[in-house]
Amino acid sequence: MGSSKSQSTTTMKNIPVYAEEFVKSYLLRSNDIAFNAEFDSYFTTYTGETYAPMLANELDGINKLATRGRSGSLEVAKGNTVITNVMDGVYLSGATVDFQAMLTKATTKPSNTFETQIRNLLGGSLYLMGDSSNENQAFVLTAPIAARYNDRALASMYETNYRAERDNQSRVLPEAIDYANESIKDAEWLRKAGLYYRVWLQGSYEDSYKKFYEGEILSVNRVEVLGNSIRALVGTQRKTTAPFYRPSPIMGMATMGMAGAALGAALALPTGGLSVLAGALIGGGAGGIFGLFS
Amino acid sequence: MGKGAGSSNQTVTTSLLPDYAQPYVEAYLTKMTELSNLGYATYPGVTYAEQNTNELDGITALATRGRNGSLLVTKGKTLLQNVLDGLKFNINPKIDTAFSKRAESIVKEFEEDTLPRLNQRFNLTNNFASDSHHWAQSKAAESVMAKLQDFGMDSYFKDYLSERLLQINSLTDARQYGEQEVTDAEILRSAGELDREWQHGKLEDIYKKWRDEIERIVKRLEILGNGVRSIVGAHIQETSPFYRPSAISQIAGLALAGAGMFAMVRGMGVNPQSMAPPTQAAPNNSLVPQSFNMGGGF
Repeated sequence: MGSSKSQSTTTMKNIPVYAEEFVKSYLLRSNDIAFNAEFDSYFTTYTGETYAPMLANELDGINKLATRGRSGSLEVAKGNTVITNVMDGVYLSGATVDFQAMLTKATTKPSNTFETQIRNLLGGSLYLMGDSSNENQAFVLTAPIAARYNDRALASMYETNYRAERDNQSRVLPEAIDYANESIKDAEWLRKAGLYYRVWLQGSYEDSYKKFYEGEILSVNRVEVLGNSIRALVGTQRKTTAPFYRPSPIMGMATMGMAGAALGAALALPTGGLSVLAGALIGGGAGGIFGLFS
Repeated sequence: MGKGAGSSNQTVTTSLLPDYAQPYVEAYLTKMTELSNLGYATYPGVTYAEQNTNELDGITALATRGRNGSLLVTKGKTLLQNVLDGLKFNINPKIDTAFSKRAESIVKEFEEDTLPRLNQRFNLTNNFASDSHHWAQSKAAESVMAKLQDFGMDSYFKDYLSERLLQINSLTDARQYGEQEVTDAEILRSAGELDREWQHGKLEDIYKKWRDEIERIVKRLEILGNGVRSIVGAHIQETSPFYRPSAISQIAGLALAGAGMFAMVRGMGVNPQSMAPPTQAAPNNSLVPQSFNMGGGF
């Protein structure tokens, strides 16, 4: 109120005077690079390949892995069937084709041998040597023998087979777990095949994006050459302009008036030429005028 | 500032470098400027190694193995598949011969040893061709049948059980052989990946060289830029306005002091006792102080 204000400016430089020319040169050259057409060729996008494509071997390998994962293994499938049949007791009864075929051979061979090579030797010589009867009792007596022994053998083999298959059932139990895990492995391989391809594809997307971004940011990067030089200069100078308040002229006039009045009164008394009041008035007036223009 | 007041600038300089460093700083900046104007040559040499024959052949061999698999593994697989399919049951080509040979020895023993001994025994006792002779021959034949049956079981049934055991035991191998397909696929894929990685590295190398080429003007400029940045803050010079009272104000102040001194010399000093409150009403010329006091009158 009544006071007047103006501005004061403080300047601070953070670089030596002798370095200023270098700084200006740096700024000027940055500006040229940023805006001069002479440098256009330095700010172009890269047109070459930056991401290698998948080659046939890799693709085929991934496809093989995927096929294996999706379709499984023939050997594993067959092993799986065997384990399933064993666990299901398919072999316990001895009804399988292979077992029956074996039984046939195991019984036919001995009985054929017996019938054709042993029984024919019985009784015949006795008849020739003195047996007047026409009856070959030895031959007759051995007629049911082959069948009887076959029955015994079959019973024995069925029973032994049953025990063996029970052993097998027990034996395949740990293997069954590993086979059960094969489907998990298949799934993992299939997933892995997909992952391999996806990782490559992701890389190609990122590469494409990087190129696109570089193209988009190209003009900004160019201007940033100048931006960098400007940033280098930030802080090299500080100029502060702030309001400055000084007393108002009226206050100066009043102050000087009062000082003048005091001086006038003080001088009037000893000189005697003027009254104290006149001295004070004259002094006050002169002081006020000085204060107004000081 | 007011009209009459005097004002000027004051400059405070703080150098964070010793004075004797100035020539070096100038030399440094000059040299950096020179260097920034020189050509920034890109590296002319090879920066990416070519694949050598061993590496290439190795990758090719890996790919071939992965693509075609192994002959041994293929054969093993065929064998395992046959075993698991039960194709090995009852096909032992030697078993029939073995049985025949064993049967032959039994038949021969029966014919050449057992029957003649029986005949001789019954002949000596005049029971030749008797019922008991027939019965004895039939019992001897029965024991032959028992032997033949044992041989039959021993040959064919044991072979079957042995094959069944092999079938069960091959389960572990079947899994491992089944996983060979994965090994092959991974080998083939790895071979491709090794190739691709090398190709990718080469593309990146070419790209790096291209970047190096197009960025060289900026790199050159930044040689000077670094020089500039290194001296920022090495020196602080602060210039600020300095205000002083106007000459008139100084003269007025000086005059007041002189007048005061003059009044004191002329006996017009202020009596401190006069500061006590007046005991009677002030006279008409109350503007004149009883005792004038510069410090308290106004």
